[in-house]
Amino acid sequence: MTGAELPAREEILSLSGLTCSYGSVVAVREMDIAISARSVVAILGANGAGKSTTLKAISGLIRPSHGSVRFNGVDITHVSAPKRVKLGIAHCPEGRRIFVNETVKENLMLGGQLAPKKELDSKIAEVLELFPALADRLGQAGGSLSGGEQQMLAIGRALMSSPKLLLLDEPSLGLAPLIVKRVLDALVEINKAGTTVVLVEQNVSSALHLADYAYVLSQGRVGLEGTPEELTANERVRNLYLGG
Amino acid sequence: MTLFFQLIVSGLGFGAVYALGAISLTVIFNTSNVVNFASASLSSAVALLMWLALVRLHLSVVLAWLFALVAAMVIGAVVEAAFLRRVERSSLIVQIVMTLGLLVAIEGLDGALYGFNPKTLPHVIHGPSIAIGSVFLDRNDAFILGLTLVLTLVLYLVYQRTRLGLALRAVASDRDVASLMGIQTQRMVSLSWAIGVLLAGVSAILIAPSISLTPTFMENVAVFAFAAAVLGGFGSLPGALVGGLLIGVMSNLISGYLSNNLQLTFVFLMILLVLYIRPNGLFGKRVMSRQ
Amino acid sequence: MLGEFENLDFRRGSDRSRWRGHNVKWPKVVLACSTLGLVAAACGSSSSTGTTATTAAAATPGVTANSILFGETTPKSGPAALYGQQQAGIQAYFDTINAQGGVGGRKLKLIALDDQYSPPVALQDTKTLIEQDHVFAIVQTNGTATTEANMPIYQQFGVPVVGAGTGAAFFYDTLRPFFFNVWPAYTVEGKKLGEFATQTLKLNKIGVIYQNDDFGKSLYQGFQSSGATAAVSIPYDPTQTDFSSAVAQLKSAGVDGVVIFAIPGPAISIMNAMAAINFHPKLLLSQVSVAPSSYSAVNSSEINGSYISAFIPPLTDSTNPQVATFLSAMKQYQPSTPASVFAAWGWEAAQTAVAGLKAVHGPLTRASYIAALNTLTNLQILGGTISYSPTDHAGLKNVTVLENINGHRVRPTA
Repeated sequence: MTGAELPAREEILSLSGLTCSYGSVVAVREMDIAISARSVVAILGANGAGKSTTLKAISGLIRPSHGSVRFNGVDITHVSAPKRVKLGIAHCPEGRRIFVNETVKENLMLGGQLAPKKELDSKIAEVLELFPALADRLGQAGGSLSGGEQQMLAIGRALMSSPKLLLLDEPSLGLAPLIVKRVLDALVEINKAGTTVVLVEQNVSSALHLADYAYVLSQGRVGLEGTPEELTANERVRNLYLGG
Repeated sequence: MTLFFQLIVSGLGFGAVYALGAISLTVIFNTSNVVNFASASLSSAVALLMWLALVRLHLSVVLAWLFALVAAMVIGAVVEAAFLRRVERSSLIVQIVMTLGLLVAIEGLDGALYGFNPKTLPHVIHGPSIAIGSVFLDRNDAFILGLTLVLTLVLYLVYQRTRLGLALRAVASDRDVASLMGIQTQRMVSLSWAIGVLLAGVSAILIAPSISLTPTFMENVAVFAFAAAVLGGFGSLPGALVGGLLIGVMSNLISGYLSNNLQLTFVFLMILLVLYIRPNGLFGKRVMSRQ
Repeated sequence: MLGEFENLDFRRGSDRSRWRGHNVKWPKVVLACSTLGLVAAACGSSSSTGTTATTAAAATPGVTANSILFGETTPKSGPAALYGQQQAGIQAYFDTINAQGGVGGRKLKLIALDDQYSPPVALQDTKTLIEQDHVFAIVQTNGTATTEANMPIYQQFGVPVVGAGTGAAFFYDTLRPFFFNVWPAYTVEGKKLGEFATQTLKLNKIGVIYQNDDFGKSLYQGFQSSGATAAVSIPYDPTQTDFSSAVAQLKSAGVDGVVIFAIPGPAISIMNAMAAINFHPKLLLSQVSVAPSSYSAVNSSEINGSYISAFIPPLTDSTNPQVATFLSAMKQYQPSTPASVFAAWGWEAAQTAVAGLKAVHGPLTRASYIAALNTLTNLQILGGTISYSPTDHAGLKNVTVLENINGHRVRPTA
């Protein structure tokens, strides 16, 4: 099977020549990435390779110094983060960062901040269907949840805005294997419902298991890219990430 | 015993003013993480604008209030946009220096505009003090107390029960993530400055008739308000209210039974003691997280 | 001698014709001597004053053949800006004297600086006046702390200071050769209020609230020296705003009179706090406790009928010649400044400073000026009678008690 035989899919997101810096430190340089609608894309790489920075540039938390971000064919390089949420980009940041003093329900309501008030209940119901564990916890402070529940809440919160593109930064970090599976299963469901998923992961094997396509970053650049099959066939990837 | 009760009742009026000041500091701190040391001069500026409207422009009381309240909100938003936004990512010390600089600059500006001669604002409520047995409650103090309670309740409900309040809380706890929820965080910070200066301005307008109105007249009040906010656990609205009333009453009792002269000293000693036992203040949030 | 003649002349201050006649001659002598380039010997004994004055002009700071430069520091901005009206009082008196030809042919000039009631600013101002502007002497400063801050620099340069706008013990307990008080000491003022409270008002139980610094303590000390005792005495910090507790204590103690030794801001707060708890004792205030704005700033009519110590006579009493002269000069020369008690403070300091100039024997130097000031006896100024001697620089010793009625200080009706 070659690339040309894949069904042509519209591009939902493209980064071209993207360069991001923190002061004098360049985290991402001249990055070109194109993501097809309804796909699951994994972004892999060592610590400090620029994975989180790439997600932040997509969600608008940081502004690139060069290059552009296009979403659904529109240049959103200079659009603020809250407005990108309105356009359909949701970002589950690294470390979950739920609102610890607010209740689970309030966290979800915040995720649906831009949604009409009357739709909130049905959206919350959808999230609870996906993560039934949260149902009993609605009135509890977010900070009192377990790590896995917090991750579910973070994803659920992101889903409240009914995103077209969901960005996830290390969702499996620090979770028990059983919980990781539950979370990743949920991502499959979310993707099936039509949401494009961009997944930053250190857990390379599970990420490649889920993904349609993957980018391997190194020192702020795309070092390798390809389908999971292509990448698992690559000796370097195997050596570096898949334990030989 | 009369003295004891009189000290408590008299303490509530100033206590309510301290509470409003503390709530102002809290509202601003919660979204912008800035301790507004310019509060004294900003609130004095609002009271002076009230004076301008009433005494110089001869506006009616209602119009003058409207003018002062709108001006307060504009001042709050403008100060945030013009000065604090520039240093929002700077270190704490830079932000402190910025608000202290504003304190001095605004007092100086008001001094140049209005002069430092004490001015007078009329009491909102006139009439003799209310007698409760042998204890007297000043009508203006009673009004301040009532208004403070109502304003605190309204603010509390807005924060706890509305989407706007939820958004403000979200900005307070994590600004970046709040923006990922689609919240216009900058607008929330402007709004909280507007509300903060509004509350501080109201406290200044209410207390001005009891003391004398000058560009610096709120400095001492602001110190007590700051103490009240700390006592309540910086960041908590009910804490600021209780902290303010407690400081008003306690400082009166201290002054009545220990030493008038050492009022401020004892108030801060008391706060040190409270913070020693409860580092997050009386109402401070204990952040619970398993992260 | 000429000097004695001047002194005598001044004591008959109203007899202007003789003074004026004397005055006309002096510049001619000066002019003649300086034109010829002759020194004392050539001019002969009768005109020696003129000759040496010319030489002194080079040696004495601030003194030229036709002018004498004075300096003044008072707050013209800041919380105590009202006190800055003293400048207008000084200027009005200088203008009055200059219109009569000045002193010894020399016109009086004044450089006035704003000290904002702040000791560091006052010190800077004073340095400027002495080191850059080279003033001859200082006429009137304002405030206890500010004047204390200036003291080392006066001392260093030996600059005569006439009038200090304070009555604190610091300035009266130690005699400084160059420093001449005009105000009565606060102890004198406090004593008078104590006597008035016990003897005139016959109060049974008196409460005292005083500022916890030299100013308040000196007044309280004076009050106690009258034999009066305070049933309750409450010190306060000058920045205090909430006095509800202080007045509750006074009320609870059942006092029938309260003596307030405060500056105007706290005094307003204290009186408002009294009204708030329905407490209406007889009130006695220090003369510095009430500013014109106090009348509108104090809730209810608390302040009306209160008693206030004073050395400046009621300024409504134009039958008093001193008052009449002051009022007309203010109207003529300083129409934009109210002829207030503050302006009167400046005026009487200027009266004293000029009397000293007129009493100078021989050439005008700082030393001769100080010597002349020490000879002033029974000098009538707006605030009363002043006498100095080398061992007494205490200023006025008379204090009366007036009543505050509708914004004016009047003789008590009771």
